[in-house]
Amino acid sequence: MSPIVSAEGLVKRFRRPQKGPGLAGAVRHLLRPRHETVTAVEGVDLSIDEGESVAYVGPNGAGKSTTIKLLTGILVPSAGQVQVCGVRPHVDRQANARNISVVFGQRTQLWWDIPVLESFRLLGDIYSVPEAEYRRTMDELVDVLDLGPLLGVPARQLSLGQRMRCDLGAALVHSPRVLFLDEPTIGLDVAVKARLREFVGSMRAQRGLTVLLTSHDLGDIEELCPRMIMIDKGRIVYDGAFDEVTRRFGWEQKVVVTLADGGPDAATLAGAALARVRPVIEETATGLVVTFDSRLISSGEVIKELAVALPVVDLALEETSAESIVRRLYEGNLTFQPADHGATS
Amino acid sequence: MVRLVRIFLRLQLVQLRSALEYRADFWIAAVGAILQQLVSIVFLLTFFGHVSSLGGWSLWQILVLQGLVMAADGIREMFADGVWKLRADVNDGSFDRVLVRPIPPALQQFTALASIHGIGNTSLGLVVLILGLARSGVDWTWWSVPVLVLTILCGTVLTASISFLTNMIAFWEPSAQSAFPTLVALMRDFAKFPLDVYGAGIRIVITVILPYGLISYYPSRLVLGVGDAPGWWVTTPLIAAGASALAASIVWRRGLNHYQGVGN
Amino acid sequence: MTATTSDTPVRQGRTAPGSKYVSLARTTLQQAIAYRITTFFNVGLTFIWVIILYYLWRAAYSERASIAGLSWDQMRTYVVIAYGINALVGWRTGTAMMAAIRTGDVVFEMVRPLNYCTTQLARALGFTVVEGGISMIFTLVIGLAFLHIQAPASLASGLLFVLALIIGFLTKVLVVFLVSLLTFWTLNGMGLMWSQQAIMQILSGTIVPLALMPGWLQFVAKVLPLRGIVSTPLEFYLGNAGGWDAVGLIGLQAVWLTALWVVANLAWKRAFRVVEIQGG
Repeated sequence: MSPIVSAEGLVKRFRRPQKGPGLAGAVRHLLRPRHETVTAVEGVDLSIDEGESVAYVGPNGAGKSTTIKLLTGILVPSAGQVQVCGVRPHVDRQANARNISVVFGQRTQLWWDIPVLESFRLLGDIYSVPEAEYRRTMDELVDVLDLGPLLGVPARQLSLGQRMRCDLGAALVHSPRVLFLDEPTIGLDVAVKARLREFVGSMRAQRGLTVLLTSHDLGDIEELCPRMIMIDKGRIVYDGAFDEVTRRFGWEQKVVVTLADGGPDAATLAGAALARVRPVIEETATGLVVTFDSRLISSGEVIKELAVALPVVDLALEETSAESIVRRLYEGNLTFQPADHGATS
Repeated sequence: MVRLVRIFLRLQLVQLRSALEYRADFWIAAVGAILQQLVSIVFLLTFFGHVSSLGGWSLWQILVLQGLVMAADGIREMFADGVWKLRADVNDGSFDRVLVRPIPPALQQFTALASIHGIGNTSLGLVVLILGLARSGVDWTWWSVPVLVLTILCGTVLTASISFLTNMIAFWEPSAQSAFPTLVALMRDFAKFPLDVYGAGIRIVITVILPYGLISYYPSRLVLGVGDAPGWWVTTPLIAAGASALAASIVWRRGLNHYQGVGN
Repeated sequence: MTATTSDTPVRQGRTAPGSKYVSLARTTLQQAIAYRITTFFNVGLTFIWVIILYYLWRAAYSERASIAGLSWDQMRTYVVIAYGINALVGWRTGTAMMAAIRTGDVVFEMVRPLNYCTTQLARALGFTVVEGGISMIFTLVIGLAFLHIQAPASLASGLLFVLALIIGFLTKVLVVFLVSLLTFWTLNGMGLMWSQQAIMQILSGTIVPLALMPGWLQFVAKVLPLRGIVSTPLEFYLGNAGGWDAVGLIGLQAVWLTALWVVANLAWKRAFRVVEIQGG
């Protein structure tokens, strides 16, 4: 079966004008405009099957929102192909719009001053949802999202959490096949987040909804998305199971060593003991932190060497979790071997 | 097509409901808009207290011109004022939403605002128009009223297209202020008076470039019988509406392509 | 300007209130300069009617030499300068005043030890420097280069014109201020601005000299303070008021200015109290 969302060699470049400051700069730009080309997305390949739930993760400026805009037809690619439900989003925009739905975390699509139910009805009209289907869908949405008490309230009077629930419902009125969620849980409290995640999960299970989620919240990703795509500096650096990301990037491990008093040359001794694997050693108030490549040496060996060379009182092996890796991605700290580059499913 | 009209009306209705939530504001805006138009009327009445004809036109005949322009613009205000929100929408990213809905972006933009207070201008315009017609000694024929109705409707299309066009600057210069579109919109006031009094430069501008004259002066001369008015002038409102709508749709498409190429 | 916001504590005791108002004016001046392009278009907007009126009056004067005592030269001059004066206190001043109320920033004003009315006046001054400057450019370019307007009738006329202009400017700011207070009770600032602008255009003599108006309207206009903004300065400029007439006109302007000042201060204090009671 062909994938429901596919992108091949997707490239997006922006031409940004370079204007000098002040009046002189403005005039100069008028006479001889200078532009710089920024590549936001460089050769992205994606393939998502129907019913999958994928997290799209990356620091700001990595090309995350640009990719989403390319997939939803908001932007036109500089090069490459995009297909969603067999339709090219930027070419057949309205046809594409019927198949997808987008929830922007910060912006509501509800009309501000009218009751939520009116917004839903309007959307039913806009998406040409047949009456019977509309009623059925509404019943289900109201039930699962507990929208009953909110339907008569104008959107502007809702709290952020209530609005998000309504936005999620609004997004599904026309039963899209693909749902794009752009930072949907920003600013929400834990209880609401849990409820939303549960809802999205059930929509997937019951309706075979394909979900593409961008989020800074690792809890979202962990709970909703078995598959994670990481993008950094316009390129995909990882595409696979969430749990397995540790295997790809988790080779960097840390041992936190607490030393007995009187370890003046601790760092040098440790360095000498592990010299063959060239670890990174930092001194702390209570001892050392040794960072090493677990592909070159096992943690057991490291511990053994350290225990022999130094007056070790306590040792702790820092867990490399998927969270920490993603966090490092966001901090720009993620390093990877060139050999690992490229997307695999 | 029917579906689009229905959705257009429903979206307008939504805005109307929003507007009615703030009833006092509606009245203040309506009164304010009417007062602005009244300034022009006060001028005319005072002017004609000292003068009996202007460029060969009587007070009542000039009121016909005023009424046509006011009514046309009032209707535009009621139904297509959303274009004035384009700049804000492009700047804060809400325009993205317009691109992911299965209805034409232009339609969505028109309904982004519903300046229902435009009904004040429309009413005043019609009153002034009817008053002017009544006292102008018009030689009524079977086509007089249809031509007038056509003129007003085409006038709405023209003013809507022009305000749409000028606001599209936002696509290329998102930080530009809205003073330029306002300036162009205000040029319609030239068409509230007979074009005979102006210099050649202005006459050309108001006839060909910003053809407000085609939806007031030329059809009026035909209906009122002022001077020799060739029959084909009955098509001038259509020409104005057609040409401006065409220009607007071309530039709109370009603007959308630009937005999709460049983002915000 | 020697006073700055970074006054040392020693100096602050002596010059404080004055320097605060001056620095307020300076802040808005900087804002206005930042928006100079918009201001340019906004002022240009108002001059569209100068062009319209020029042609309309030209047509009228093609058949007669004088209307209500004004010659064609005088009428031309009147139209250009009237709109030039009108543009001195423009859109931005009024909307800035209303915006402060609408956004709730006005609560800061309530706790500052400054006179709210004077604060707004100081702010208006900042805007006027730019709006007035641009207006003057338009007036001179259109007036002198294209429409060939006249100079003041005499030196004395010119001086009286400037004096009346200043009083008139203050009058307009106070009127706009009073209207802006209504924003406490309604959210639609635009409607208020439109109404205020329209009424002012009529009753100040901008759209048409007061002398041309029908008797009853003239009477209403002559009694109200708005004439002091445009009509009175122009009467001096055109040399149509000398001697005791001049004294009377200036006196009337001054009386109205004082009255407005008193009313404005009463009004804002009352408005603030009401708002406090309602919880802002």
